[in-house]
Amino acid sequence: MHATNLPAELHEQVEKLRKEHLLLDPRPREEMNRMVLEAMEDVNREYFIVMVLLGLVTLVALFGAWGYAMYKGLGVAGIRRPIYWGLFIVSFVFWIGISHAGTFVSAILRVFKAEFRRPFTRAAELMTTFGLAGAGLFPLIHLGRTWRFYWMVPYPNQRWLWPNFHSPLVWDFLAINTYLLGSTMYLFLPLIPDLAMARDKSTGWRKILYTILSLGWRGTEEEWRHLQKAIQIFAWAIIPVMFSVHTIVSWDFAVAMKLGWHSTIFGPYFVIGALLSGISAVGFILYMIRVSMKNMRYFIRAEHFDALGKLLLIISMSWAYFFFNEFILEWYGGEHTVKEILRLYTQGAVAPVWWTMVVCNIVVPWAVLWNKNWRRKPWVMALMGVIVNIGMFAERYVIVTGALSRNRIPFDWGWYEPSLVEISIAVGTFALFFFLYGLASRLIPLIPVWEVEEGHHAHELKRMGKGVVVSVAELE
Amino acid sequence: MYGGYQGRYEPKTFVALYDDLDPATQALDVLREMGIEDRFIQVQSGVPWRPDLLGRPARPSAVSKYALIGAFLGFLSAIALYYGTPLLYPLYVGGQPLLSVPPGFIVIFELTMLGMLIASFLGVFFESLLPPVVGKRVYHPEVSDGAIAIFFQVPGHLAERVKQALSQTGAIEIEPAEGTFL
Repeated sequence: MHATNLPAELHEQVEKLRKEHLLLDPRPREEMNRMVLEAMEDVNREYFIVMVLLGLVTLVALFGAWGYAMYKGLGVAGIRRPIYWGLFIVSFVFWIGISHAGTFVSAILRVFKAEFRRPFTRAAELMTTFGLAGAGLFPLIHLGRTWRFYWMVPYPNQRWLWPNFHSPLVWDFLAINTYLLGSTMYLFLPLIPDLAMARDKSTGWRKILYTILSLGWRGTEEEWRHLQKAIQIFAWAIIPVMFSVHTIVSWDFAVAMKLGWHSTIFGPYFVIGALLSGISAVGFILYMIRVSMKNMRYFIRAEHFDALGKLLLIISMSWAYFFFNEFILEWYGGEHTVKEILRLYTQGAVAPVWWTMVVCNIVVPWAVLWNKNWRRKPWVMALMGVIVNIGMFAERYVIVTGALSRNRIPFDWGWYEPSLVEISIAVGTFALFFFLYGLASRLIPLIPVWEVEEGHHAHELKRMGKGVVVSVAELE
Repeated sequence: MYGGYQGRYEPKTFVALYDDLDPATQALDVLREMGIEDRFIQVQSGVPWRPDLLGRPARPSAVSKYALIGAFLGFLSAIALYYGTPLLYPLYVGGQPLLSVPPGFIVIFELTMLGMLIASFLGVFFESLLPPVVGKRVYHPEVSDGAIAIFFQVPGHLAERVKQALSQTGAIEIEPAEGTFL
């Protein structure tokens, strides 16, 4: 619908709608391609400095500290009897949680054909891949003797000894690998047409890189048909895989006969917690992309933050529901040691962390996200991303270290303080995540241009009575 | 396809570029009316257009079959690993059974899904013949900029007539193309 042919009052309405919605504000494909490529090729001084710093922190804080721990032995970590799991496992669960957002945002919204997903699915999927890259390091770090890792891999060997498939640690190994491989393939498939676009528009080393990665994609009917079928299969199949991963992570705890852990609700409680941290992190990442990359304000708009904000509010409420369920039943049971654990959480030494969790995961999101104006402010959603993730890190810290510090034998109670090596490694994985993300932002198109163009074709404005309404055609 | 002309006139390949779906579908109708069969036409586009919108024959993708086969292979691997490996070297621990059913569901689920996902992924490339191993294939880089490219093969003596008919459908450009349709 052309705004110029309309009465003045409708013209205003149309302009407002276009400003608001990306999919009602089409630009020629050529221009969108140029905008995305410009953003990728914009390697300025600030970017370079940030990347060097992140690289250095990764190298020293993560790999340096990990090397030191391997050289000296796992005794350099603060884990002592009875607390055998500390910051390594806290970070492991945290990064697995972050990795859930990509699949959730991309796959579930794709299955439901939610149109607002189009510009940011890839940005979210990248979080999955890099989140898992960070998470996958921790079981290796926690082994201490990392070089024995291959004992976990099921392969025929001289003594015919195989991993014990009854062990939750092997379930973890299988689930994480399935999810990592699955989500990386799911990231790559919709990326191929955009890599082909980059191939056609680039020169030099980039052209060589994209020629290899696009695998000769031409956009024929056959290629689209097979690609779309595969994307459809992935979108459906990756959802139960995603649920299984965090459920299995929760079972690392729940299958143990440990008070505070042995709970049937841990599976869904962990999954919803993962979605809470992951979706809030998407808000943060989208804000970073919007402010740090050229032309991204056109693609990522207030409407996207608004949609994420609503989703986050619902997930925060769901998390509160599971949290309360878990807490109230433990408390009502009245088991002496469990009561001691809950006292430790709410009034004891762990209380500051526990209350941080409650404030960051419930109080702040509920206080802020009900308001549409705040949800639409990118910086508010970025801040929510930071706050909720502090809360979720605190939640994992409480569950892992708090519960372990109390058991049925009071002389075996303990206290955990993370060592410098553990803190350094945990900080290092944050640097690794942002380093990998920063690198990828300049190497692959973060915006799925073909999906955005498809959305442009599907949307149009229609005059209805005295107003203008949005009409969406089903093209997928 | 070319009846008595085949062998006497070498077929030539052309590409007609369109910036919108409607003229492109009109062009496809024109090509069909002029006796060019669907198998001698290939459409390339920067976004996926459903076959019914283009007026092209719809065929189901075989990727689903790859998914099923992959899932089955994954399932078999899981059975072999979970139930087979303990029998190779039985280790009885704490009076627990060597083979138990419930934890097996987890291993079976993960490996079945992994098999399905890997097979679907590979299926796209096998079915689309990607990456191309030999020979040059027809392609126009304008496709990346949103153009709809219609490649077609016609006997040489009909080329001018077809080009003229297509130019009336609003083609941005009609030019010779090189390569195969594969």
